[in-house]
Amino acid sequence: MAGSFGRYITMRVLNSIIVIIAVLMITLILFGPMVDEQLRKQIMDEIKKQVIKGGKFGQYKSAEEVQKVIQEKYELRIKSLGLDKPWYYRIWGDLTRTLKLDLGRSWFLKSDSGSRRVVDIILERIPRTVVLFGTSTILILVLQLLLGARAAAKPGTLFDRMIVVAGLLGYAFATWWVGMVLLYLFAYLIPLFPTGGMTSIPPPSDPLGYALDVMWHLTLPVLAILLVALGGGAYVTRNLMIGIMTEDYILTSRAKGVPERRIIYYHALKMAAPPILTGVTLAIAGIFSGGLLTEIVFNWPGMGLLYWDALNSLDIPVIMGNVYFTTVLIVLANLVADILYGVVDPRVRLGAGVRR
Amino acid sequence: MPVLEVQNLKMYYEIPFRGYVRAVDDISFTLDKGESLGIVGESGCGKSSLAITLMNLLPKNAKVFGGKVLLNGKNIFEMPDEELRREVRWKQISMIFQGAMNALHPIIKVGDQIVEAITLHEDVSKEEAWKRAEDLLEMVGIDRARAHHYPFEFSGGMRQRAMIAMALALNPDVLLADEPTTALDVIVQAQILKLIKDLQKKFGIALVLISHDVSVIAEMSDKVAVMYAGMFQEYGSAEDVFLNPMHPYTKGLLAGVPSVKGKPRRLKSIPGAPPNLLNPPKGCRFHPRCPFAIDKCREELPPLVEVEPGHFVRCHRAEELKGVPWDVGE
Repeated sequence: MAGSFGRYITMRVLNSIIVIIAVLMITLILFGPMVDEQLRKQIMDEIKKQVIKGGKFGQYKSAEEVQKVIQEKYELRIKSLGLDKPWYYRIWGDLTRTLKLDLGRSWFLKSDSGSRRVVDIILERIPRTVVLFGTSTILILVLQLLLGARAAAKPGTLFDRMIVVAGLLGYAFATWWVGMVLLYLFAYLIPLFPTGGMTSIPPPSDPLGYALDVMWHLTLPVLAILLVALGGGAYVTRNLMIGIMTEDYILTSRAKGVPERRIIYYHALKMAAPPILTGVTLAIAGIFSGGLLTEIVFNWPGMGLLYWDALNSLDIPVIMGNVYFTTVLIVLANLVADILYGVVDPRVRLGAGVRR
Repeated sequence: MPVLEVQNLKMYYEIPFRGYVRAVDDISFTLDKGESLGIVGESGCGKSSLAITLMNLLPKNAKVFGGKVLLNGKNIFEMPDEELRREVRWKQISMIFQGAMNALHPIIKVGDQIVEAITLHEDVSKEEAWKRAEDLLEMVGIDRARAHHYPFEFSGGMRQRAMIAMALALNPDVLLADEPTTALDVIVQAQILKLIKDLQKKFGIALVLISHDVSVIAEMSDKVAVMYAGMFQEYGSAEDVFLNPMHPYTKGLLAGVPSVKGKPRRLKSIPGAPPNLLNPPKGCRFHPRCPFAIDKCREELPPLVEVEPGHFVRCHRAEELKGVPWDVGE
C-alpha cells in the first residue's frame, strides 16, 4: 500500500520536472534570439570603447584600420562565446546553466541589496509573493469549505442565497478593480490601511513589530483577492455538497443516528475535499497571473511587480528568470496539492479505479 | 406487544403548486419479534418511501399526513429529534439500503464506519468498539483484517455483508432491508439472503424486507404485503398470499414468475405501468390495468377487507374472483 503511494508521488515529481524543463525550453526558444542580439551589441560597444580608449590613437593608420581591428576582435569574442552559431546550438548549455540557477546579470534592474545578479533580484522577491498568495490561498480554501458547507446544510435559506449571489458577483469582478476600490475606500477616504507597499518606511526593527506591519500592509490586497475568489469557491463547494448530501451513504449516516453537524462537516465534507482541492490546484496558476495586477495596484514588491518593472525596461534576463521561477513555484504548488489529494482521498493513494 | 406497529400511515411528497404525491397511503401492519414481513411491488409504488418513513428519515418535501409508527410502543413521530437520533435510529431500528454499492461511505474505512455506529449509541471505548466491529465482520463472513480496508476495496457482495454487519452492530429490534440484493448476481444474492435469514432467526429480529422480486419475498417472509400505488392491496401470511392470491394485482405478479416444479407455462406480464401518484386514478388505483375491472372499481376505492382470518384484500370483486387465474381476465 505504501509502495503505491510512493509510486504515485514519484510519478508526480517526475511529471513536475518534465513540465519545468519544457517551460524552460520554450522560454529559451522565445527569448534566445533577442538575448543574442543584445549580447552582440554589448560586446561591440565594449570592444569599441576598449580599442578607442585603450590604445594610442596614432597606433592605427586610418579609420578603416580601426574598423578592421574592432571587427577582428569582435569576431574573436563572438567565436569564443559560441555566438557565431545559431542560438539553438547553445540551448543545452543555457538549459543546464539555468537549472543551476545561473541566470546571468540583469541589464537594468537591481535588487534592493544592490546586486545585479538575476537570481538575487528574484530570490529576494519570492518570499514576498509567497506571503501574499500563500495567505490568500489558504484563507480561500478554509473559508470556502466552511461557507460552502454551511450554505449546503440548509439550501434555499437567506445565507445560502447570499453565497450564491456573492459567488456570481465576485466572479464578475476583477481583482485589480476591487483593489483600487478598496484603496479608495479604506486608504484614502477612511485612512485605516496603507496605500501600498509591504512595510512602512522605514520598517520597524523588532521582529514582532515587523510582522504586524507586514500584516497591516497585507490586509487590503488579501481582502481584494478574497472578495473576488472566495464567493466562487464557496459556490462550487456548496453545489458539490448539495449533490453529496443526496447520496446513499449520507442517508446511511442519518439512519445510523449521526448528528447532522457531523454528517455535514465530516461525512460530506470528506467527499467534497478532493474535487475542491483540484479546483484550488487549477486556481493557483490563475491567482499567480492575477497576482501581477494585484501587486501593481498595491505596489507589493513581489514577483508580479518585478514582471512589470522588467517588461517596462525590457530587461530580458530578469523576465526570463521570472518566468522560470514562476513556473517552478506553480509546479511546486500543484505538486503539493497533488500529494494532499492522495492524502485526503485513499482511492487516489491506493490506486483504485486503475485496472490491472 | 408487537415490536413494530404501523397504523394508517400516510406520507405524501409535496410538489409546489401541483399537489401531493401520495407515496404511502393508509398503510397498517404489525410485526412481532422474530417475524418477517415481505413487501412486494413494482418500482415506483412507494416501497422505499415506506421504508424511510418507518425510520422517520424523510426529505424536506415529505410530510406525514397521519397515522402512527409505534416502535416498542412509542410513536416515532412524537419523539424529540434528539431521542429519535440517539435511542431509536440504528439502536432499535436499522436498515440495509438499496444501493449496495453506495450505502457505505466510499472513503472511510469499513471498520471505522461500524465503530461510529457503535460509539454513537453506546458508551464503549474505541478499542472495544473496534473489536466488536471485527467480530461483526467475521460473523458475516469477512476476514477481520478487512476492517482496515475501504469500501472501494470490497466486492459488491462483501459491501452488502459489511452493511449487514453494521446494521446488526447494536442488536436492533427491527431490521429494514430495502432491496438488499439488487445489483448482485444470483449466487451472491442467495448467500446474502441466507445470511440475513440466519441472523434474523439467531437474534430474533423483526425483519421488513422490501423487494420487487416475488421469489425473494416468498423465500424470506412469514407475512407478505403486496403494495401498489402507495397502498397495500393484499396482506396476509406468505401461504395465503402466494398460494391463494385474491387481488388481481397479486395474481398478475405471480403470473410473471416462472415455476420450477409446476408444468411449463407462458409467463405473463401486467400491461401498463404504475400510475402517477400525483393524480392517482379515481376508485381502485389498479383499475386501469385490471382485466377484471367493473364500473364500481372506477368510482369507489375499495377498503382493505379481511376476507379470511388474517388475509386482507383491497378489491371489490375479491370474493367472486376467488381462484380465477390472471389469464382468464385477459
